[in-house]
Amino acid sequence: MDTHAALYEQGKARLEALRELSPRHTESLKQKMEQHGITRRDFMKWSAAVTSMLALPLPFSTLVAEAAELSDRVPLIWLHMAECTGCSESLIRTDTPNLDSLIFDHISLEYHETLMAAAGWQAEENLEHALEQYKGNYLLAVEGAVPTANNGAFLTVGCKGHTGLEIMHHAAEGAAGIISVGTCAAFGGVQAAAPNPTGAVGVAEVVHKPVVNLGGCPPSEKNIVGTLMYFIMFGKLPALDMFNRPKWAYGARVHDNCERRGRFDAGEFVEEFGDFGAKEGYCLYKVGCKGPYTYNNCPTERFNHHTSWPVLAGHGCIGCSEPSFWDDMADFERPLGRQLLYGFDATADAVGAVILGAAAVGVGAHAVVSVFAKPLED
Amino acid sequence: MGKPATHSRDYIFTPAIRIFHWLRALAILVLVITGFYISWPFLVAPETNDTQVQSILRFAHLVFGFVLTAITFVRFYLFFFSRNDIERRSFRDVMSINSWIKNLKSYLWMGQLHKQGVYGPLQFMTYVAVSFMALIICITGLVLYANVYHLGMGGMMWDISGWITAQMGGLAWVRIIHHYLTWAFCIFVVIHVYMAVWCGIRFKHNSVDSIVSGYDYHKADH
Amino acid sequence: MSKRVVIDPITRIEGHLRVEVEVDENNVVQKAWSSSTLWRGLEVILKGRSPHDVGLLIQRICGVCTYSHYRAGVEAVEDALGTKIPLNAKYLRSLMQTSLYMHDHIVHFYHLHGLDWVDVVSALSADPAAAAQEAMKYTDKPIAAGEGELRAVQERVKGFVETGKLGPFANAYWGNGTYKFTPEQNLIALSHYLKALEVQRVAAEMLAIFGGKSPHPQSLVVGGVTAVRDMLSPARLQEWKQKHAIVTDFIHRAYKADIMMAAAAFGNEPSVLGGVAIKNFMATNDFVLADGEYMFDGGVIMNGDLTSVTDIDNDLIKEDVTHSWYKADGAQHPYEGTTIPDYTGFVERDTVYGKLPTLDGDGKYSWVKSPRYGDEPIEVGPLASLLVSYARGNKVVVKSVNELLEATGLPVEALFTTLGRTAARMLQTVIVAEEGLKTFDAMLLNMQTDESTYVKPEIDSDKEYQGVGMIEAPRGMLSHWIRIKGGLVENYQAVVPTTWNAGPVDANGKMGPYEASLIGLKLEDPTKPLEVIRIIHSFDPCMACSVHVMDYKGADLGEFRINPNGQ
Repeated sequence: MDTHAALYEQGKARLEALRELSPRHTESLKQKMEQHGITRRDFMKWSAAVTSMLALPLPFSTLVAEAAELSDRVPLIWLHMAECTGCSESLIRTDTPNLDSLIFDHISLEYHETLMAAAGWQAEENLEHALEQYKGNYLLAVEGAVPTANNGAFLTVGCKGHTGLEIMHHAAEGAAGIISVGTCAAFGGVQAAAPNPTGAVGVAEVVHKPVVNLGGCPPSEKNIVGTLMYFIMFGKLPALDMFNRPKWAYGARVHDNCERRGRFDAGEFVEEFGDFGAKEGYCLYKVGCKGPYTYNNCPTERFNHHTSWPVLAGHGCIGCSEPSFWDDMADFERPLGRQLLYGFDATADAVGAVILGAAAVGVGAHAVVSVFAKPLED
Repeated sequence: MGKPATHSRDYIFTPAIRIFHWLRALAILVLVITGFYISWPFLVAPETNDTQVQSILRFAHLVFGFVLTAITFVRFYLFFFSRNDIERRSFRDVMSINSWIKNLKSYLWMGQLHKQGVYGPLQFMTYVAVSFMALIICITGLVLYANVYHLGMGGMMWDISGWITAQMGGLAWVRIIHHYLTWAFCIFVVIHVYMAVWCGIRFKHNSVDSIVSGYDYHKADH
Repeated sequence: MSKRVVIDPITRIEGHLRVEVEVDENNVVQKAWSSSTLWRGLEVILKGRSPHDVGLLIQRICGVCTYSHYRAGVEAVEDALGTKIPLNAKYLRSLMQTSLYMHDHIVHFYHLHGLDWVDVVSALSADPAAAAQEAMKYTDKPIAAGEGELRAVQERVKGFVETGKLGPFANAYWGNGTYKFTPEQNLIALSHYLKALEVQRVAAEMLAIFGGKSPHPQSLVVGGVTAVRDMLSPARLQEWKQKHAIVTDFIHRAYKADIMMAAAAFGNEPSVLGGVAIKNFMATNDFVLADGEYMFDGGVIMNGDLTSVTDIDNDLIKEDVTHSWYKADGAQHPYEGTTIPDYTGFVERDTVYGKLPTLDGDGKYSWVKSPRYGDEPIEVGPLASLLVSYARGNKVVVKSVNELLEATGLPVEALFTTLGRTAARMLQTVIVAEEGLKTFDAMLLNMQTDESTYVKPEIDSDKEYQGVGMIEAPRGMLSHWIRIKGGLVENYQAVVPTTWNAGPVDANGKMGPYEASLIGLKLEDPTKPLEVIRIIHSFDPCMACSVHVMDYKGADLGEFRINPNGQ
């Protein structure tokens, strides 16, 4: 039996289990959709779209549809750590037409500082309430890195002055699944770049539980929502790659599916932004594209309702879904071999050439001395 | 007729060693050139894009990369299991401080180069280091390959490659280490060629020729 | 007997903000403290990196005013290097700025600020037919406010509320007496809340057309803009224009109308008619309409005197850390400043919620510093920008402001209120949307003779450079200051709108705009401080931006000495 069939069975079982739970809304999704003029046909089309996005075969679309109808029973708690709110901004750009708001009141969004109406004491009550009531069942999404230096004093949240680190430990305990949304939560991100003054780390390093990492600064709205849907459908985390990123989204390099790949193979490169090649859409490798080292689905899904992605806008990929890309992929406008080495003010190639030159000079000097050296006695 | 032979003709390099040496030399030459192109595509693309410049050079890089990888593994095997122990014998020199001093002095124009096996101790250790460099550059090369080509060999190597990629901190690091080692090879080649020629002249035997013919010449009375 | 109210987290903002107020027996605010509770240290991280990477990295200060920091960072480097970018690049940057404003202000008003004005629960008892009539009062072509649409919205939300599980709407301050909309008005605004979720997506797409993505666009480089293909594509240009039309339509038919409705409904609500206690304003010129011509003007207004505007004098900008979690000897100019974190934690005391750790108002209590302009606190933001342009006699702004005042029958002083601040943001959005087309047309004209979008910047690693990028972010005047040495970033500083607004008390005991705006505010119920949140939201706080390191000259990381127990 192939793995898809097994997965399908698993999905069905999960949905059965969810169906057992008492409904949160008195009205079903079906009724609600009818009220809003969303036909069954529209709904099934959306389900098929989500299914293909998740790289699953078409029969799964019925599961997706069932899952969507049931998913209002999955409470979601979304925490903000050391972050910039870019991932939340990405989330609100969810683009499947007419369905973003449906998902919005569909997953039970228990806590999300950017979107929730309650504030202060009452907001904290909501969090405590959700952590208690849905213990073992809630999905935990985290945005931002966890500062650990000085016992986490660089971040406190809430009237009680708990540090981000304490809140993270507490919230992770009862989570059915943890999703690190964005490179900061996944790998530490920008505040963890050298010299990492606040000791920021990814969530997985402090919770000792499996964590799904959604790399990206920010990850596209599709990668966030698609991963939530996977959890809802199958009640488990999706298949993950070497850095615990979902394979359905991070299974191929940016370079593999790049629209400029033909130009790369042909050896046609942009030499300078705005030049002839830039206007023609040549490959951006020589102006620093890190697509060859970066796993993400940007070229196929793009961002903002498939509007664009950085390479289309003429700038190379900066590798933002990879761990410590702020250090490893910089300089962002030069290829890897031509980066300035940290603390050297020179590229690896320059250093290599200098050492090679030194070797040649050494050899030459040795040769010259040899000419004048006393010959060997036999 | 003729004078009695003043030199003995000694068989030092087996055909396998010689063939692999030159194949390896060719592979390194091609790999360095194509590798530097891949790193920084310095050729201007032709007018037509029927010629897939990058593609072709990358293909050459892959072919010779596999050649180098195969040789590297075979040479490791041969070193340990060849019936001819002329390479292994040098290990005795490595363990002897005296041999090291003699070796270094001879390079500084003082005295003869005496050795048990075919290599001096410094030479031997350099080759050991280069062999391990070759091993790492082959492994990183295979990891890069498996990250790009997912069927066949790439597919077989994927699990271990994925694991290595993660241990190295991501594909960028695999790539950059591969790149740094290229430079190490370039530097090695320059010194290696010089030392081969120099030793032949200085010590009056024919080390350059011997890697072609397999024979070295030594004074008969030695 | 005074009581302490603690509000943390202030939600529906960017970042981590804590506000505390002390109220007297009549629940009138006597003292207020504003604190940011997160420090990330991005400027430290920038040191020693390539100036080309500055924009991309510093953009990650904030994902809400994304692009603003990107542009300010890139332009600081350009200013330092003396790079003169092509005109097309200026237009493209301005169009991205236009897109950002149209997105950011809509999201702020509806999704962040809106629930301070709109009582969602009250909307459930509205009569949709009456509401549809009501909507016609504020515009003759209301959007998403027909009877049928309103009924659909109401039923949808009703079904949601009846479950008793309100998700993101749970446990808010519904029913508070300072919610002044009628149920019908609430329903209109609620419908627009949902409609705006769709429209903001379109606005974000506008930014992505030339930026590659949003948030965190990726098409600016030192020397210009990379999106040359998008600029040269007629389909792309029209895509931008089409989306611009959709969003502009919403701005006119919903955003503007809703503000007019709020002005009518809240016109006598005292808690929104104060809130501008610091009447000093600063803004810089921004939005390129043509070469050298700007949509908004720059300058400084002191003491609310609109008859006198002065140019910004950079030397008068100083930062004070008396009550911030840093060590320093007195106020410092950005270029001379040091930053050594000195976290002192909280003080336990009685509050309206019982014993809690609270801010130490007498000591240090925030990661935000207190910028001062000639020792005076300053408010920045859309209100400041409009007032400066108004005082400068900017034709477009004067006309827009006068029209608004005329339509509402309010005097110009009405702008100096919480309501005025929120209205100014709307007015700015309208101007940006309408005038943005001038930028678009100017670019089309220029493109016919000039396709350049980039000049290669030159960095001499033997030279030292210093420069500033000063722009208007959606939250107000933003400046990034850079010094470059040896071809690398020597140090970096960002003076950010929310720092101006949210900073703590300075050495002279002067409060910043946030704190000052709360003094004298009467709370209906101190345990549910909606009035405080509404005023704070009217500034559009962006905390991640505000917390930063000003300068690291002479201070290495060994000087991070923070009490490990945070006490």
